[in-house]
Amino acid sequence: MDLNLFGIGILLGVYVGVVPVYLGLFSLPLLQRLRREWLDFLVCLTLGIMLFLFVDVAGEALEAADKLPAAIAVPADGQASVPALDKLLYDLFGAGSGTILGPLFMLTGFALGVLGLVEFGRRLDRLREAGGSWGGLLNPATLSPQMQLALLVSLGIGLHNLGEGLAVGVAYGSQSFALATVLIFGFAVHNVSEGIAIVSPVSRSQVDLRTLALLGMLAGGPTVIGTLIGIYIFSNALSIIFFAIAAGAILYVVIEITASLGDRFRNSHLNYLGIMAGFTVMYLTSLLVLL
Amino acid sequence: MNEVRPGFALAAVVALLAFMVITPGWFLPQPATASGSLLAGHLGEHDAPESDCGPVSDDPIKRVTLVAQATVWEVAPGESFPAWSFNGVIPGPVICLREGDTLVVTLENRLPTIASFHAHGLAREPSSDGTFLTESYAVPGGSYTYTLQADSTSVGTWAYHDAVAELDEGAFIDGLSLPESGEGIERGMFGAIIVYGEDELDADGLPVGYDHELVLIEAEFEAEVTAGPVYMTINGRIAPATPHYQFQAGETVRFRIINVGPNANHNLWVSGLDWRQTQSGEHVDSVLFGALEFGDFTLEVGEPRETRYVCSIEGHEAAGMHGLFSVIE
Repeated sequence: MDLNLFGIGILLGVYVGVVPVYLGLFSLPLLQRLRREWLDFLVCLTLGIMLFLFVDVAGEALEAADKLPAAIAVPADGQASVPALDKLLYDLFGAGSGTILGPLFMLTGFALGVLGLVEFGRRLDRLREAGGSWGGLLNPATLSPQMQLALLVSLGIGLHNLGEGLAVGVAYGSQSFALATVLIFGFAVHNVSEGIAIVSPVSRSQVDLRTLALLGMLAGGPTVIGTLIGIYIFSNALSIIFFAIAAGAILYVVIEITASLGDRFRNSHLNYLGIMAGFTVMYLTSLLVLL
Repeated sequence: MNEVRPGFALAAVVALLAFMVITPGWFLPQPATASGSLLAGHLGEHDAPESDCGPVSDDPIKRVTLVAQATVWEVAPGESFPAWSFNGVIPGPVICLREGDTLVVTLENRLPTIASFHAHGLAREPSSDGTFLTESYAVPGGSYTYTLQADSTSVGTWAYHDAVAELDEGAFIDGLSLPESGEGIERGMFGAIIVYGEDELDADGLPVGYDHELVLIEAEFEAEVTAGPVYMTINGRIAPATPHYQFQAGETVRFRIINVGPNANHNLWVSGLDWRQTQSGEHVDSVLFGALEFGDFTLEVGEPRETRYVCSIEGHEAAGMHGLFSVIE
């Protein structure tokens, strides 16, 4: 294994995902100074950010599914090399199978994402009702409904960043790549908002450093994993599944956030402004991501 | 409980920002930048002809590896756009062949879309055509190997480019895909192929009859690609980063000129000098090429002068398609 390329892969994930998320997380003291009335606005900001991420990653999944027919149409013979999993699909199902497999992977991944987060949310509920902690990292006092929401948001963002890391790993994971600083800057600005989205629900709670570290790793760490996957074992079929799982997971988080707001959501124009602000910030910063 | 105190958060933010700003240059390869106009041509005293190909090997099988990849390409200092390229440079590497050579190109694809190597002027089977309907492309994360022949009709100047990246439905007419289709060529995936005839190289593999031989590729990058201005480029740059051609008085220079388009015509003048079409000997004031036209033109640079070259098509000079041309003692 080329240790240099491995190291670059980790660094890419750190620059693109981990550091920007933590930059956003450390906005917590600033958010804690806002008046209590702004809490719902912040939760709606998170909702707007997650809505954008859903649109973004669902679009990626659909696009990847559209491209699968071309990606597995070429047999891996002496002339062509094809990612291993795509070759397996070609061998098992033939050249024309992409038209069916693309949507199949898309829907399967989507279902996995939704149901996976449903099960995770259910386990968190049971943990909170039992007054337990999670792996020793959270204590009963901090596993509030708001913290539970922050955990779900982190997980959803982490799955989104897994797909983002995949794209970075494919694009830049070769020996001859050169990454312009402007690209890192684009990713950083875009992903800072994700950190803010995570801590917004807990801006009225006590959050300790270990918890913040955990939330950051949940959200940003998958970028490193995705980058390494993109460099070493990328597969067009796998990318559909990753993006679709993220889309399903984020949809669940969007529904959970909306449910947590309840009737308070409808009674305030400020809340709708929060949604629009979150969506707009993510959209505008996504234009800086020149990938 | 270790709460997140404002002072600690601020320190953490400053440290992380410093890490993001300072360290990428230490650890990650940086792309080549357009640091002003580079001299091209006569850079110092030389006994032998100088060419962009250098000495061409007499190995009858030439192997080239190209990596289709995303890059941020700087057309001039401070002006860049998200591009696709072969090996991170625009234009891609020059491929230099002798008549009778076999060219083996391995294309590795690091783009999020299919990509191909489509060459003009070389003989090839459909499986090495690099077009969509022949399924001769590299999938994302994969590779494809093309085998082509430089036969007697291949002698001259040609272009290679991608023909399938982000192919859309408009590229199909009556079930046939247009060979020059997709976004790859529009985003920077192109380069030059030079095939030398049997009597065109000396014993050292250098061109006979010229003091200098250079490749000049004209390309436009449209607003949809740059998300902003239109760039009319010479060898991937706009003024003031276009090549500053410099030659010694009395030298004979051969330009291998390619217009890769994808759409615009270009009409290249060197103020005060006439071009001579190399094969026919015809004298022309300017080289007028449509998209995907290529050819060889010779300049007798004559007496010392400071002049310039420019594309005279309306708007192209303003879009960057000009540069300096010097003839020194």
